[in-house]
Amino acid sequence: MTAVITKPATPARNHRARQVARWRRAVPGYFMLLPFVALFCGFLVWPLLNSLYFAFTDFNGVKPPGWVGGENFARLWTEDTRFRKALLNSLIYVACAVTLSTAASLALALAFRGTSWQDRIMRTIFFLPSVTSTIAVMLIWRWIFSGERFGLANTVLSWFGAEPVSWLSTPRWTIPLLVLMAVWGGCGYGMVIFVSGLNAIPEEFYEAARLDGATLWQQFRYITLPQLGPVTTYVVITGLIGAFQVFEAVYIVFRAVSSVGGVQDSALMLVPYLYDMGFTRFQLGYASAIAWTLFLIIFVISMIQLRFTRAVREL
Amino acid sequence: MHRRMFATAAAVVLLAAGCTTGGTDTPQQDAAGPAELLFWNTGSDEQAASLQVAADRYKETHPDVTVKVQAISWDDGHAKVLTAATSKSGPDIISGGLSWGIEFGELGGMIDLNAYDIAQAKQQTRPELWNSITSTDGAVYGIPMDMVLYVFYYRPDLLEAAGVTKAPATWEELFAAVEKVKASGVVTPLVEEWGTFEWLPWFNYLKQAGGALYSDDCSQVTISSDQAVLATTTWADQYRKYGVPKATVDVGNGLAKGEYAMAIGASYLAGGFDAAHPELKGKWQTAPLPVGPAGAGSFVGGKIVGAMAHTRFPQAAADFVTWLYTDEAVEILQREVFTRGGELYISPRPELLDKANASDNLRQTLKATLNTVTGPPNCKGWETSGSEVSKRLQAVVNDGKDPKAALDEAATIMQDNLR
Amino acid sequence: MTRLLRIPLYLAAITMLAPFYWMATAAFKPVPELTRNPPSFVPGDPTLDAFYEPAYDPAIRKDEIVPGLFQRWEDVPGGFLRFIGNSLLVATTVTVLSLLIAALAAYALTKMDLPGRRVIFVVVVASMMIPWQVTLVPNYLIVRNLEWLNTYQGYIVPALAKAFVVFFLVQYMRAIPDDLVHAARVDGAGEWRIWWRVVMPLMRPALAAMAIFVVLAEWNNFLWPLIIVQDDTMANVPVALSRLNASQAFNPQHMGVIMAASLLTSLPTVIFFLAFQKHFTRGIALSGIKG
Repeated sequence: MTAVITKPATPARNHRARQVARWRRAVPGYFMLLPFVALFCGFLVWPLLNSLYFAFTDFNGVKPPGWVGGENFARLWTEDTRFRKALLNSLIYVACAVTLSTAASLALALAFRGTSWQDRIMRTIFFLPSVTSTIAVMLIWRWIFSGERFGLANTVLSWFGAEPVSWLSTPRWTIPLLVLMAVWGGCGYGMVIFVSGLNAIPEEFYEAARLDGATLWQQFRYITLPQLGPVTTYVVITGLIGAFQVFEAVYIVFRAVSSVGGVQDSALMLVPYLYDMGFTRFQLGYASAIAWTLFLIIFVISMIQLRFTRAVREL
Repeated sequence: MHRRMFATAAAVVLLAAGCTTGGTDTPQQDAAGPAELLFWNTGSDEQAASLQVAADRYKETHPDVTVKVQAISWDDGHAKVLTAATSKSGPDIISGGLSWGIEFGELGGMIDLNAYDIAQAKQQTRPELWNSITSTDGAVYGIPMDMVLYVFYYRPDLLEAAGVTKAPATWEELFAAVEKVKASGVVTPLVEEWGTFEWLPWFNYLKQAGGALYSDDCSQVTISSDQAVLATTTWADQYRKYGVPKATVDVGNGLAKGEYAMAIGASYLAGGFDAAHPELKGKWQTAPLPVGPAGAGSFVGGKIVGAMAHTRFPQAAADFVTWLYTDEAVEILQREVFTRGGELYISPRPELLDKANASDNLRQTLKATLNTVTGPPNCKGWETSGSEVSKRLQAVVNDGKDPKAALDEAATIMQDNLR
Repeated sequence: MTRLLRIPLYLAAITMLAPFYWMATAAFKPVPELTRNPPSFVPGDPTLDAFYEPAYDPAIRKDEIVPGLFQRWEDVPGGFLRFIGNSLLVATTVTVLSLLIAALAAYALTKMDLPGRRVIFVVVVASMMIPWQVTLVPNYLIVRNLEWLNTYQGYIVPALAKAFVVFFLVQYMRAIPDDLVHAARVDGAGEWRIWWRVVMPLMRPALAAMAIFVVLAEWNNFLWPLIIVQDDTMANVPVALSRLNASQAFNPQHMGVIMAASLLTSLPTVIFFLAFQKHFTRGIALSGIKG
């Protein structure tokens, strides 16, 4: 589908002339690529290489880095209980947040896929959190889950006669609250994608199914879900990547003075842990090792996503 | 037009690629010309404004030195000072937690003030506090800038209504008072502020029980002693049995509304009660913390102030830092911090307490407390271990973990970090 | 049936709005009302004190009078408005430049026969999977060595190469028939001209969608500015918000001001979104469906 030059069988010198011409035509193209590639290399590829190097050093930000080999990774994967806690928290959080917000997105999309004004208003409402400043949103949550009686959450509890809860310093509430915030913030985004996915399903499929006497559930099960397959994969994978990188929610809402992870590290996730090791404990080498571990985890999961591989194949 | 833009972009990237991560050393001699010092003060905006007033006064006698004070917050102050230290740019002077000097200094980010004239400051500061900020090798990267003590606040009227006639003086009296006050209808008899549900308030119990975190020479971890187990059990009972909130609360507001009757809190709170809650005026009192089996003891905290290693004016910076110990500077800070921020400023010079904006009762409490304080340990790795200890302690309360087992775990971590 | 199913979702919509409502009301409550128990759901005595408190005097401390949002940051000319200005400047510059750069790259990658372009594209796509935090530390060191800390360049230049935008524009550009480009080439037009005159006009919907993405992302950018900003005058809105929160962390009397700031931070993006909603949702839909 791209502008590939046809390749008829030609003599060798002819082929060479073509190659030269091809390169010459390509010159302006490289100029067009230059700004992006230059910036991309300067502020992404080069830092990445640096970071990879740091991961094998004891770099502390001030003294020059000293090579320690795989020690950081060995310590991280075999000894570090905080890392294990962060990883476990992240996995639980990601699993719950992604499942719930994908389900919520789909439900919302099915309910509000229409073009009526009610549907549009509802879509707007559910989408609002996606466009609101994350920091502002997290400040609001912190205010709502204030442990004192005037907190909104505790006020709602008091209507049912319950005692106030110190939400943010009770470890068993941490992950549920984070998941709640994630679903609240993320369901609108998924909804919009699902709506367009739903609208791309040909109406004839449903007509045929109805003629065959299929129930609503059967239509959903045998037409909607399979047709939404690729869209769902996309929503799930972008959700996974985003959820693994959660930072602001922990930093603003749960952090305690002495530790980013909150009480008993109950809110410690991978990126907050990276920040903690890198920017409050100076272990920049170790932080780089965490960053690359995070990358490996996301990479393995992303590889499952056919979307990228297909995009590459098509080029 | 695009072409020029690309050229710039390309140049930028080449520059970036050509750079390495090293830096250059800065000379220790003051640069010529008038000095402009940037001072990052960790704390509230009001505190920074108060320090600015002091700095402006300093300029009157030192016309060549301009100090500009900026507030950075406790939440991201540590990270910001680190980035300044690594980038060798930003502030000339910083203030921050008592352990920051040792921490940043050993990384090479701060100047050892022993090279300057700090003898007087050392002599004026309480030795417990000075020990806390001195590296094990003797270096002093930051000198104490203020002190924060633990104070027992209470409402005598609420205590009397519950049949408690005087401030509890011992652990037993404290918890007996909590039960009586609770029975008299006060929802939350006792609250804790300043490091709520972290190691800080626990450290008070540790001292009162006669325990210590490390041996005096930092060679041994002593956190899993019998005294520490007793302290931990008592500390945990506050939350488990006596309904002390695990989250930070607004002490003034709660005392004013009669929701709280007693509070173990930081000394700086005292400045704000009357102004913020006029109805509380004359209704609150203070006392030293109740004593344990080993007598009185509590934590002393505060901030250090020191000069960054990259400053172009180390001499001027060191001079300003020590100037903060003068009568003049302390007087300005006592006044300004109180009127602007409603906080009580306690200078590291304990004898100046008499001039602080405080009632007689509060002054008595502070003086009595000062005789039995202990600063944070200056042993290697404590900054990292502190939050780990907090988590083990929290597990005792939240998960019902055995105190001895929790402390053993904490000891292992501290031991690892000590090496 | 479907109508019945919707009812819980309408209830959910109310919960969606509750946090916004709580923020908006808190911004207009007088200080004592913030800690009233039980709280008021409609401000009993609405006031603008959280934005500007006429009774505030820095030299005199009075009960329950806290400086309003526009009275904070005395040493920053313009105060909170300055942060909004910083955010706007950075967001617009980054958006315009990064889209131009990405559109050029996308054109070269899709409409020109460049040896090695597949490798470049694979690298760009692969980079999207790397959590950007990986580059946080080295990028900080680079910006520091360029002496760009605390400058607009420090905000802008590292943010210009956006792999996702290139990826998205490539996807969209593929749908533009190659014949159009061929025809222009046959007419003797240069590649730059074709890019600007033929392809760019057709890319408008995609560019609009990406522009909105980038504007929002930059407006909300937090961790990077947090690290490179050394002086309050260079802070952007999220950093200022976080500062406001951190320095008054546990004092609920300041929550009104914090909520007022949150309100002012959220309003522009919400208005922006409402104005460009169609482009926006289409952009998201495209990013999810295509490719």
